[in-house]
Amino acid sequence: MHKYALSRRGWLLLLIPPLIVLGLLYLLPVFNLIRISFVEYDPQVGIIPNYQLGNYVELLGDGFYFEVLWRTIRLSLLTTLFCALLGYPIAVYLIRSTGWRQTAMFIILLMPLVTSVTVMSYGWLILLGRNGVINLTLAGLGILDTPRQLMYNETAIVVGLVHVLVVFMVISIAASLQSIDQSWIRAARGLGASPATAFRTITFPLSLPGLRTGALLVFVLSMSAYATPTLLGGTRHKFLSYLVYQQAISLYNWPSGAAMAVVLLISTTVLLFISSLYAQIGAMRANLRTSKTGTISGSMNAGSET
Amino acid sequence: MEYLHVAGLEHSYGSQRVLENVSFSIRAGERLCLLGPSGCGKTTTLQVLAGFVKPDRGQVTIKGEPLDGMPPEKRNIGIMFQNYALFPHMSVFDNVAFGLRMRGLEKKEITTRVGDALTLVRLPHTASKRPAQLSGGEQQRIAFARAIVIRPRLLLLDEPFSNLDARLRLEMRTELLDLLRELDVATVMVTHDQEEAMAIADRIAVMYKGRIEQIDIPNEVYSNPSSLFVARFVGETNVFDGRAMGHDKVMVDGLGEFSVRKNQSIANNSKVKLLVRPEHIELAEKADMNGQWNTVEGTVERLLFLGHRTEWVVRKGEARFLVWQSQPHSLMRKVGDTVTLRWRPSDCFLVASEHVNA
Repeated sequence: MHKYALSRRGWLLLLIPPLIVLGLLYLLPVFNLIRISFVEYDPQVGIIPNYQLGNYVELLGDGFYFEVLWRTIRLSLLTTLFCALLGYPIAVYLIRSTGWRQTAMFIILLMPLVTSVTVMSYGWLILLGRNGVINLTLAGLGILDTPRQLMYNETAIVVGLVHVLVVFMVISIAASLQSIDQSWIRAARGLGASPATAFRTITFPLSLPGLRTGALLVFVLSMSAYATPTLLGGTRHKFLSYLVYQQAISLYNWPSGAAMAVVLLISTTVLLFISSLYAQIGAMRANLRTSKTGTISGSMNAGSET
Repeated sequence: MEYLHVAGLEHSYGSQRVLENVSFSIRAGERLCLLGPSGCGKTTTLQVLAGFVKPDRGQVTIKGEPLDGMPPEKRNIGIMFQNYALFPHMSVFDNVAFGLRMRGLEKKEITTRVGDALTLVRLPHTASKRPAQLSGGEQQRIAFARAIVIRPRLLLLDEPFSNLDARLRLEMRTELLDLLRELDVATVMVTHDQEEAMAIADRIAVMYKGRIEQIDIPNEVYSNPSSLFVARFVGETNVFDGRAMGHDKVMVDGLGEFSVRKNQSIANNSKVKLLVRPEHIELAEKADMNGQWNTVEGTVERLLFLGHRTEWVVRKGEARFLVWQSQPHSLMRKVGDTVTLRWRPSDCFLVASEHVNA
């Protein structure tokens, strides 16, 4: 056994290659991004290596920028909510079904991930466009006289994002449902819980970690989504990622784009921090509650024990 | 007076029949143990009683009230699961209180009854702990408290000791028996361990291939098994092929004639099996020829000293005898020695050969 056991130093040595890769490909660029966000930019001269807060001051005074930031956060939260509402029943179905039904469900869920986002968004265009399937069908049935604009609004963005991202929610929830022992459900039933009550008191609380992981994944991914909101939102409903692209690639204003990216990074991190804080407070309150009932029964038993 | 009555249970999973005409009844406060190897249908029977499995045919009644189609939550049956199935996200208190909350009891009464149940299993100090913080034995006791706090009409125990290590198993066996006696609740327990079954049960139902082979008090099942399967499953047995000569004699191939306990159900000259328990065979110093004993002379082939007893394998011709001796003098012999084995006719019995029986 000793022959194959690695020493502490051996493990550290093994850690070096991934640390180098991570440092070169992740930490260094992020550090560079933060650095660039502080330098000055002049359209005539380009980047002037003079560190100041000008880029951020400019952003904070820009109403349009705030509108886009707020839309990005708002629609990401909505996307997360709808992914949870839609993903939970799908996850339950996925766990309970067997054989080809389960395989089919998996394929449907994974399709958006293996298809290019652009192709998929054009698919939505065919469905939702002015001459799209939905408009034509509704018009043909006489429900609509004139085609409605279903694309290029916030609803379309959320629909598109939910379509792409719901799989992350489903897989997270399904993983945590899978870890729920059927005997817990049976125990609850045997103790007098109806199927609905058993779900509320056992299944749902035990699946919350999966729901939380799924929500974090979906939120982070939709905050940084680019193609789907750009194609389905059109020019009037921009996401922050599009503004970053515009600044950095179209206008060559790297410092301004970098500052936007940093704000996006910070706002995502802050929201994640708030959500984990909220979860921790919830867990603490639950613990307080049980220890309180514990002491009550404990003191009651102290008498009968002696 | 019958308390629980189970009549003619039949059940199949797909094409596989798991229950065939399973019927039994128990009196109030009686403990019945379903004993058998895995796949014999004992767990399915338990699940039918709990309401998790709807049998294809058959009926279950408690005090004359039929339970058919009644969902588990309406049955008021306490169940202790093999893995205990304690809710991991709840404290011990909330686990035990779960069934009482489902019954909508007042907070004050819940606190009292949970406290009493935890005191009964001697774990009142664990109320605020999570199940994961408890040892295996403690978890088992909490699972028991949770099952009985609802004052069930019937208690079901599914392999209650299988998740405990050997030493703890013996300890918990006595403890559980004391608790069951104190509560006086009708109990159906499932196990594959014959010792557990004999220790806990008032009566044992030995199951095999979806049927009840024999149902009787532990002593009868052990000393009067109705079939070869029961004899082999409940304790160790030496089995020899032979032919019945009347009701109390047998001719064993290659060994000779032996006297046996009378068995009226065995037809003369039919193919039978002679069964002798290893602890009933003694090592005699000299052949005792007075006819009171059956004797066989053989060679010691293997000798294992196991502390509380010595295990011998004695060979004569093709036949091998497993012998358990607790006397220390048995150590004086060694492999290769010739020994005389003897056993009383009243300690051995005949069963019909399996294929005739089936």
